[in-house]
Formats: sequence, C-alpha cells, structure tokens
Amino acid sequence: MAAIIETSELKKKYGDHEAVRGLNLSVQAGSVCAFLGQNGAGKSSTIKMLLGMIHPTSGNGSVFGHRIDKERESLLIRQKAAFVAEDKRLYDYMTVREIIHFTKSFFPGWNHALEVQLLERFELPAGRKIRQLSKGMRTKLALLLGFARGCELLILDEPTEGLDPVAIEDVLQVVVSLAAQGTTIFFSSHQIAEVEQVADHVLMIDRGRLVLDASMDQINEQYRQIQAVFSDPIQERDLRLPGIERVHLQGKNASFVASHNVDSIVKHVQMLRARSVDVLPISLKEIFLEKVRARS
Amino acid sequence: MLKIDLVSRVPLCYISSTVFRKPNPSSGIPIYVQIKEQIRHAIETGAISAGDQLPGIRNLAETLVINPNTVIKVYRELEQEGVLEIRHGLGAFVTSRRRGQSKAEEMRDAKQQVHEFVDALKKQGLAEGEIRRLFEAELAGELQRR
Repeated sequence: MAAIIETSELKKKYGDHEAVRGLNLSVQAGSVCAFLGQNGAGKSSTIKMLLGMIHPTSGNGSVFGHRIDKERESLLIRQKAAFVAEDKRLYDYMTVREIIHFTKSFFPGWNHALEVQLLERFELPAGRKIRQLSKGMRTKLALLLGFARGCELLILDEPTEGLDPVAIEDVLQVVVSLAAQGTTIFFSSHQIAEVEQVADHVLMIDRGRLVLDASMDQINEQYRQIQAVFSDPIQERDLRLPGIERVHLQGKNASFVASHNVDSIVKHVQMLRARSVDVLPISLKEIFLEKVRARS
Repeated sequence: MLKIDLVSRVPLCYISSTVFRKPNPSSGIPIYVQIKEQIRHAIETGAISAGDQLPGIRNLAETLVINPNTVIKVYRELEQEGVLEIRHGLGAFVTSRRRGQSKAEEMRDAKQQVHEFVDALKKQGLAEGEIRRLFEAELAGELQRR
C-alpha cells in the first residue's frame, strides 16, 4: 500500500506557542485512520496544514504526492480531498436543497445516488433554511456535502461531535461503506469507542508530538496492561525493558502498559520473584489516558 | 424412484449479515478474531452450512459497522484455514468438504436428514409402513443396479 498522506518533521508555531512539534505521519491509501489527541494537542492545526489552509513553520508534507507548502499544489489537494471542518460552517441563508445544489456544481465527481440516500437517511428537511437547523442537522448536512463529493480521500475533523447515538452509527456506516469502495478516511475524534469500531490505524498526538502510531490489530494483540505483586519492594530501574511504557510503583505493586514483547516481560517479572503477574487486555481509551498522563 | 438427494442436499443459499452480531471493540480481542469465531461458531451450530455464501465485504462491513479491511482479513484467514473458499468475482463460500468431520458426525447429520425427510412424507399422508417399503425398495433397487 502506498502512503496517501505523508509529513516529515512538520512544525507549526503561533507566536511563542508551538502547536505542532515535528510530526512524522504516514497514512496508507485505503485505510480508515483515526487521529486522536486532547483538545489543543495539534490535530486541527495538522489537518489545516495538510490542506494548505495554513502554512507550516517548518518541515514538509504531501497529500497525493502534492506538496502542502506549495500554493498551486495545495489547491490540487483541496480539489481531490473532501474536508469536513470541525465548525461545520455553512451558508446560513441557503436552504438544505440550495446548498447541496450550490456545492455539487463545483464537483464533477459528485455522487448523486449517495446524496439522495443520505438526505433521506439523515432525515434532512430539504426546504429548510440552514439558519433554522439544529446543531446535529448542520453536522449531518456538512457530512453529506463531504461524503457526496466522491473523493478518494476524506478528511473529517470531529465528524460525530454533537450527534446522537443513532446518527453516529449512521455516519460510521457511511464511513465503512465508502472505505469498502476504496476511499481513504482520515478523521480526528474524541470518541474512542467509535475509533475502535471503524479505524484500522490509529495515530495519537499529544502536545504536537506523535505518541502512538499503530494498527488497531496491533493494539489489540500486543498492548497489555501488566500488574505484578513482588515479595519485596522493587525499583523502577528493575523494570526497564523494551516494550515497557511508564511504570507505576506502589510499594510491592507494579503496574504498567506493555506495547510489545509481553512474553519476555512476563518472564523477566517472574525472575524478579513476583508473587503474581496478571496480564490484562487494555482498551484504546486506557492507552490514550496512559499516553496523555505520561507527561504530567 | 425416490429422489432423496433433493431433500438431503444442502441448498445453496445466501447468508444474510443478520446472522452475525456486532463485535465488542473494547474487549481487547481483535475484531477480526471475534468475527472469525462467530463464523466458525455459525458453521458448527449449523446456522450456516457447506456451500453457503457469506455476505460480501461491503455488506458485512456496513451491517456490523466495522472496517472493511477487517472483513477482508477474516475471509482471507478463514480461506487459508480451509473453512472458506473465495471464488473470484462471486464471493466467499463455506467449503463443501468440512475437514475433520468424523464418521459419527456424518451419521448424526444423515440421521437428521432422514428424520426431516420422513416427517415430510408423513405430512404428505404416507403411512410408516409405506415409507419403509419405499426405502427398502429404493435400497434394493440400488443393489440390483450395481
């Protein structure tokens, strides 16, 4: 598989504030890649740089092989990739029907069948002014406009924010359906459960830095929470082994996340005369909390 | 002549995605492993049988709302394990020769088929004695033809 999005040492500074601090990302064509991070972690800045909407302070990147820092090339990126922004900004004075008509006139690849299907499924009132739509309806309309563009790449910033569970499931279903037809999807989200459900790859950033780059299967198969009870108090240095992330020690108890190498870690822990070792599965949410807390 | 094979042969049918349950993404077990287990279980319990077609990749991904690459991985691995057969352009089918099916299992399956067949004949109004004679005549005829 080829990379459709790539960045190298991508940085963005706003005055003194470093929002993005040297990101090396790679998103494979055909994948559903989730982009996770806390508020202010640098997700939206990264997405805007990928689309050429803001200029990187340093480093570079490409989407479909087009350089993101070159104005002409980034125009091509915006033509080939559909983007649904976090604020779901739409023209308030238009009706639902009008904005669909307006939007599709720009895009020759418009998927008419999908437009009709989503209008019905999302229960959008075609004749209503956007000004009078609820927040959830606006979000669904913005997603419809993105989905129906018929692009090879969809970039979604917090696509399901503010939607009810039924609408979320509908949106995710469209996402997997488009993915099954070959569309690459890169989306940021705070909804970890939905990420676990539909993503095949996860990129996690914290304070502008990449802290996790793994496939969902890798996370489920290799990441484990390990809890050990020792006969005597142990030191943190006893537990420095490849695969062991930050260790929490409390007297004779140790708990930590292992990112790989679990079998050797367990053997090592047993050699340290642990009275008990428990290896537990770990959810993406726990990994997220662990990664974010690691710095505090 | 009785055409037993009309009833005993498993009809080729399309399995709807509703046979499958949504996986639990937070269980720590990869989704593809959960779906593989569901398919194996469905075959073991007879919910789907040899020759049946499984849902298409897009269909199953949409129904379970999971990544289509996960479905591809499931079908591919089950093919390697001999559980499924991928016919290009057609889809995934449960393999007709089930590996490791013991004689006892074959007999148990056959018994069930005979049971259903006899039931059907009874419903058509045939008496037990008549059914027995038909079976015997059929088997005797088989013997003669050999």
